[in-house]
Amino acid sequence: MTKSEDLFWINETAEVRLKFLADASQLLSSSLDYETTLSNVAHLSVPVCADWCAIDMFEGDSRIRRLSVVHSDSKKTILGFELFERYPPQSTDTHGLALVMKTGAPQYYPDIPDELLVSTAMDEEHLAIIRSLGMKSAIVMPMKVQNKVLGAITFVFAESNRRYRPQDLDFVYDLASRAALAIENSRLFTEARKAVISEKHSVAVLNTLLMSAPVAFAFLDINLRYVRVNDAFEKLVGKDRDQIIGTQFGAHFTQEVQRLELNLKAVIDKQEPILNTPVNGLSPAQPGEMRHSLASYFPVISDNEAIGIGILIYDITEQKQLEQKIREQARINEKLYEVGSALTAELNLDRIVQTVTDAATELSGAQFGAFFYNVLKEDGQAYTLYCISGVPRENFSKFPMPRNTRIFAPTFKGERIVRLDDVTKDPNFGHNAPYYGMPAGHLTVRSYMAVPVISRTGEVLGGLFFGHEEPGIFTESAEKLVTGLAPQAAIAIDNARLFEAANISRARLQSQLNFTDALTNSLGEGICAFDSERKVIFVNPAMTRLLGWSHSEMMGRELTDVFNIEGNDGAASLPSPQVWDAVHHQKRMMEGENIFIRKDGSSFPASYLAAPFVENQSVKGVVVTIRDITETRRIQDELQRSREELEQRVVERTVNLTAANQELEAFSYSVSHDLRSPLRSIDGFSQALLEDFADKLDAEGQDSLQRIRAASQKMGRIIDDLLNLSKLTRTQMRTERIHISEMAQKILEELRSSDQYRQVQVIVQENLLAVGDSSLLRIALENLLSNAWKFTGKQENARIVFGAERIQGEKVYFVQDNGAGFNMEYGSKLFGAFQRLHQAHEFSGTGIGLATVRRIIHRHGGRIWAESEVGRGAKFSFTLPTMNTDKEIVR
Amino acid sequence: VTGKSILLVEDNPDDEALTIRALRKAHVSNEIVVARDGAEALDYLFAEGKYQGRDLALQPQIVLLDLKLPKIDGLQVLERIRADKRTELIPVVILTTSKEEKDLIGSYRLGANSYVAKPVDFVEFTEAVKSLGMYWLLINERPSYIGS
Repeated sequence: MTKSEDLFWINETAEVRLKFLADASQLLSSSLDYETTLSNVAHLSVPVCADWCAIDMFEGDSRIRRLSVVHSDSKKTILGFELFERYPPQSTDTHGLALVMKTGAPQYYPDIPDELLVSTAMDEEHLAIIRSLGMKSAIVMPMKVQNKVLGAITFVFAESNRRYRPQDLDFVYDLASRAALAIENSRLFTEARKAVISEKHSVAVLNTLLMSAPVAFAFLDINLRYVRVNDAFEKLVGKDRDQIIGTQFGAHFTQEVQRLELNLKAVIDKQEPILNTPVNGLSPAQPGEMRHSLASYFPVISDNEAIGIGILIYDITEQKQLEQKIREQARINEKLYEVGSALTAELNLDRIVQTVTDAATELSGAQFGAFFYNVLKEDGQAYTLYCISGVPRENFSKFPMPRNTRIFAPTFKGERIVRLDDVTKDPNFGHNAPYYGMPAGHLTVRSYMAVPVISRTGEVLGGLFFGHEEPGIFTESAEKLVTGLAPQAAIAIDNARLFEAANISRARLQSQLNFTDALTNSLGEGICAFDSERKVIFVNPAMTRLLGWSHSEMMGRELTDVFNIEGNDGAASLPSPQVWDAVHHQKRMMEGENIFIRKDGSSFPASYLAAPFVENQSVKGVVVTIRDITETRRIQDELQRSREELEQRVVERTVNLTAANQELEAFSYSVSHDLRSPLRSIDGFSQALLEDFADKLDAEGQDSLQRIRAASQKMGRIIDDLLNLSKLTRTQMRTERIHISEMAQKILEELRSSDQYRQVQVIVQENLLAVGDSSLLRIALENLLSNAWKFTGKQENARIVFGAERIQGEKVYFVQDNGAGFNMEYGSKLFGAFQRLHQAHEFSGTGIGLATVRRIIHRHGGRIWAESEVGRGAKFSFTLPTMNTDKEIVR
Repeated sequence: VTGKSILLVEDNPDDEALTIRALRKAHVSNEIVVARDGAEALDYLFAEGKYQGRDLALQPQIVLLDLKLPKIDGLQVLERIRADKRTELIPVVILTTSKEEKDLIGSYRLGANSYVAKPVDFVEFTEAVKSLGMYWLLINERPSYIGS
């Protein structure tokens, strides 16, 4: 049962109910026309006790007559009758009216699920009708007198969504009993009158009727003396018939009853009955016992003259006791409700505990009460705290906590409620050291009651303890009250704990939110969230800056209103249905770039990222992040431009270089071709002269021709060397690893084989490697080694060394000889083209060799230098950087 | 040495004289036809221009071809020779001053049979021409009929 329904019923205080019962009783006693009065009762009960109420009469042979239907909705009232007509209850029914008629037991349906309707419906249409009634809860209560079922009252809750509770059965039972009594009264009265008036009926019939009637029955004469009484009346007053007949009406009753005499005179004078007057008082039959009755007084009329009074007394003590019980329950309910509301409003644990303890102490009638409860601190340790009611806290503060003794254990273990009239007489009392009972100075406790407070989870939160110095104070109802209070206290404590926990996590959440806020506010990226309806539900300041909308303008707007895109990018554009569909329905992240149009019509390029945001595994919306890429694009454009410029320059440079190379090639071509041709003519015709005209030329003439020939041939060699030198700078370099030792060895062998008569000591350091262009390096080494070969030509013990050494961490190759050497003063001229440091007659050569070597070494990024002293040989050293072989120098 | 003619394509009169001298010194007695540019050489070979009416059956035994020529250069002449059925089988020896790699490759690619760089030293030149004459006119076998 939910809280609101609970509240409804708790709110229905005893007063309301009793007032209803009183109103109903008055209605029932106002007339002997029970059909009308029952209908009125039905009207009275809607909507206070039911959303609709039906009253049905059982008429023997399993026949049921629908007397009245009252519904808060008058259309449904008619439906209530129609339903009964078309689908009358069947004697075979295992539910509702028919069952009540058969068994005389009330039927209680706390809940009416649809399955119940389906199982009771006779056909589809029937089901449709009863479904349309929307019944939620119902009570079918028989109206019984002396175990005879007269009919039934049906209460149904439907539209108001309320539910009947078990205790409501008592209340409805009470109502039904009164209604049954009214019906019975009416019947008896009718039958009695018939008997009295009609001469057809014999006195015997009347007597039998009177004697057998279940209610007390008496006839008074006009002077209010007992003329006749029946068995039930004898029993009621506890006297024999003889003691009663002839006495005054009031003689057998209390003073209160006697005061009614005047009214009885009115019955005779005015010939009007008094119906269902409550009569309360001590029982004449059993002294000290309180009885409650309803009395009806009828004028007995003969020949239009009242000749006496007929009295009907119905004992309603039982009903009254039931009422009392209801009142008691209502009081408890009310208190519980009161405390409950206080607890509901309170989330502070200390105050809850105090409220509970105070209320329970007061309601149980205890002198003092205490609530011991366990709390879990943040360090996970459990502590027992307590709170006191009724006496100052100091009274308890010097005593230890209650321990798990035989008295306390059932409470702390949550086993059961302990209620003792005198705790000191309990067999479990006084078994534990050191006190064997209560410590000295402890408040006197005789009456003792303890109730465990158990959480929904089954955890024992603590216990409520009550004491009183007098024995036998705690009644069952006190126990009931505290028992009702304990679960409420448990729920409140649970809630308070939950609230505390929620507070902590809310604090954490808040700081998380603050952090997220700060983050989204400070981000340069625009962030915007949309719900599933594509409406803006969040927007950060950057987004409003980017788009030029204000925060309030953006909130709640449609995606397509907020994001306006320049041009039509179709599926790639952020507001397109494709992007939304991909993100929202396929849970994909989408990104792209669009030109976004601001509110003022200006635009900016931006990249976007759209991602689904998911809660409990379902997509709740879409988060869009936008980044202004104006600056990025500008930088990209600039980069692109400078790259293009660079490429353009490289192309130009290449074109220039290519042109220069082509020019150089053309130049070399003409040099090789055009310079050599005339030389060949000079040489050729000189030779022709020598051959054809030898006889005409003297020795001097012939010598001159020989010189001409030698000069032209030398020029031819110079041209060849020059061409080779220019070729060096033009050919593409191919860098590789070279066994430079082997290369030197081979060159020296070639030199040796071309000049076999010389004795030269050759020393080559083995396994030297170099990185470079092998054909170029070979030319360089050929030049250096052949120079060494040449300049040691006049040396007795010629020696040529090729090797490498490390100078300041750098690998340096060298070619050393012990030949003629040179003067270092002229060293600067050494590597220039056509530079010679020796006279031609000393050492032949074109003067181009070392220039060639230097060019080759430079092309490799290396350096070359020479050391020498005249007559002491020369040493040529060079480096070949290996680290930057890929950075060859392009010329 | 007797037999068919030699076509010497050479624009430089000095070289022409020296080449002929060298050939004669090597006892080459074949008729030597001199063309002084590429166009003239082609006219002779295809019996056109001033050589119109020449019997095409009588093609030279060998063509000594310089590369650097007025009007049509040596490589173009070679290309035309190799492209025409009437001349494709004639042995062509490049006889030039150039030692450039690209000339060597170009010549062989177009189907030159030999490539000789003329040395400046006349003695050496004479030796080279003598070898050429010996080889192409005596040792080498050629198809019996190479004209059209």
